[in-house]
Amino acid sequence: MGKIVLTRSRRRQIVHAFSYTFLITVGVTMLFPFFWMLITSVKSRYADPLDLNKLLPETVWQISANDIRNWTEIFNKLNRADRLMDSSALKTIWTAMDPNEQRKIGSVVTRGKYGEEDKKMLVTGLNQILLNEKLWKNEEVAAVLRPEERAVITNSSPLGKENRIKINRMIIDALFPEEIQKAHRYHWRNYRTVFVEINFYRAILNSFFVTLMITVGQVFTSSLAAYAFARLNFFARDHIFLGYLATLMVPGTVTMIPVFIILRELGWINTYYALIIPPLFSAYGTFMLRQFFLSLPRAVEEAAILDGCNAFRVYWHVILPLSKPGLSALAILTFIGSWRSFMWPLIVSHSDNMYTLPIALSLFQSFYEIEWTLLMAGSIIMIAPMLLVFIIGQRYFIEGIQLGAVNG
Amino acid sequence: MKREQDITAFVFLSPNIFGFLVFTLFPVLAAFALSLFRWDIFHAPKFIGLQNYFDLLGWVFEDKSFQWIDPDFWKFLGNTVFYLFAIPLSMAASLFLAIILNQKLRCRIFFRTVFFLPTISASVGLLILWKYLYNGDYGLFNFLLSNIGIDGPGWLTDYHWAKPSIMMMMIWGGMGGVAMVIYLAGLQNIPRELYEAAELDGANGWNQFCHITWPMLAPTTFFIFVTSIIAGFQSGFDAAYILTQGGPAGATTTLDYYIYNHAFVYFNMGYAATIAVVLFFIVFCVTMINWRFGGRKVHYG
Repeated sequence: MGKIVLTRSRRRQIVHAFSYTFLITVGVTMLFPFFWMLITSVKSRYADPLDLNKLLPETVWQISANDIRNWTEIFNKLNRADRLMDSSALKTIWTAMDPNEQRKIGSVVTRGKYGEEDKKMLVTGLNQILLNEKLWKNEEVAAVLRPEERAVITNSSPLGKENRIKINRMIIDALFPEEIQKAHRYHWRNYRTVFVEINFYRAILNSFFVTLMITVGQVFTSSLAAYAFARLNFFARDHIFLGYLATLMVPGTVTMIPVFIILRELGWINTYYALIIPPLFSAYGTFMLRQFFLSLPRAVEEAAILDGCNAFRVYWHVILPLSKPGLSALAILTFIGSWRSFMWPLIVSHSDNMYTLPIALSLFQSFYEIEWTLLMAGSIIMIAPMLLVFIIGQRYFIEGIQLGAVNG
Repeated sequence: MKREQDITAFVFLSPNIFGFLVFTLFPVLAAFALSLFRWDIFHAPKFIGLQNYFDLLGWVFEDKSFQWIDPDFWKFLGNTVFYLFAIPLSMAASLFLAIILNQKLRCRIFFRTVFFLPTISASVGLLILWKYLYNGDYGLFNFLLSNIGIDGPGWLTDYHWAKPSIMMMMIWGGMGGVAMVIYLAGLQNIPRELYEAAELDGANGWNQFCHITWPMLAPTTFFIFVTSIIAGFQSGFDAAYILTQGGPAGATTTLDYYIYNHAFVYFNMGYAATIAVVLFFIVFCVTMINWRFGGRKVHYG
């Protein structure tokens, strides 16, 4: 009786409304972490990343630890005012320092001249001081703080992240006059810090070099083999191809150990050879391109062969130009795959100058666990190239995945 | 003529075949051989027959109770299998998203791109973000939970929460990824007439899904399932390495991480190869079972 009959278009409207709501909800869940990552990467190191009321970066007064000129200014001022020797708090800081560092900073300050290296050292040295938990609990340091500030230090045990930030702020405020603190809202310098720390720029260059070599090499070797499998008749072709396919099932860890040993025998560990050569040959790439080549019309090729072209010319002048979508798809897949590859570079690279970006980043995060702003900046640097490549070549990428799957 | 083609083909294949032989086929055989040795890489390898296999898979009766010789292996195998349960959940989500995206909606491409973002960036960078989100003391999740009065657990440091947490992360990252894209292609291959005919017969949306969409997608589902299972047995290394170091108490150590540790931390090359070979057999058998029992039921449309 009371049955509501919905017209077709009405029903469609409801379905669409539901669909959009759903898509937007899922979309927000997917995007929010990235958004948060980006926002955090430009926040002050002393901002509280958890303060969602201040989700967007706000202007923070702080000593910009990365501003090298600023640090030298501070030291000049301190030096001139003899505060370095007079202030008991600073004296304590001074004595708490590693003697080696003390000597270095001391010589820099008394010389009054600063080379690039000295500046870098001052920055890292002072950062360590400001992050030194023991120091904050020191009575003499606490003496320069206001009573309510001191209470924060004595009452917070163990120091949580929030207090750490608060105390850091307080000590900066107490020790340094406001005029040498600097106001910042967007701390793009975080990115510069990341580039300078632990050979990050080197890791980025390594990653680009290794990834490009693997991509070009893999597309080349795969397309050659794929052409043979797709177009040439030769001895045991289908058996060999099946053998290729079967290896798609072999877990990477099975071949990993023997390949490591081979490279070790060749003396290639911790060289670009180890990073580039083993991933250069891909059964998956060969399979995907073979599927693509099979879908190409044969007419042009046959015409070329009648004109007297040999197999290489057909491959180079006919097949490759026709296969741009397939080749692009494989190139993008390979680029993204090797850019983020983690386990293999971890195994074969042992020194700063050979680390790729994922390795450098993972080391960085294990040393600087609380430096969220810097970690997020590093993560953005790592993710950005992949996103760029994906967004530019999205169509090919999606088609490539579907090609590998549907025809399989 | 035939001979000539053989030579041409050989030239075309040689770069790839060379790599295939040196970096795949030979290493597979070498892994089998290596599993018969005890080798710490610094001294000469010592042939010990099947001892590694006994140590890995064997058991003893001590004090009248059954004990595995390497209980860790079974535990980590269990962890790996536990992660596999993310696959059906993730696939269901992928299918649902694909069906919704398959309608004539505005911004389809935009949403597809957004859903694909985690797959593209799934890597160290993203794991670092999750490490923060999950942090028990100052992570975003617990902060949000505390606003509604819930005291959240240490997601990655609690023995019982660590695995589900990592699983949740996998599902979040995977549902809009490769599986969804493949499902979209599968959906586009279903002839429209089938739905039109069903609509004339008065079938509702759910009926259409059960009798048209699901059966027509069976080969796609099967493909995604098989490849996901193969990948699933090799999963969890990055997450274990970056997020938890395999802990707490081995709760998030997968076989891949176990092999890595034996090979490159403790330098038990032979033992690591043994685990790898056993993993290979497990993957092989599971895939065969999938083909045998799944492949037959699939209706190829």
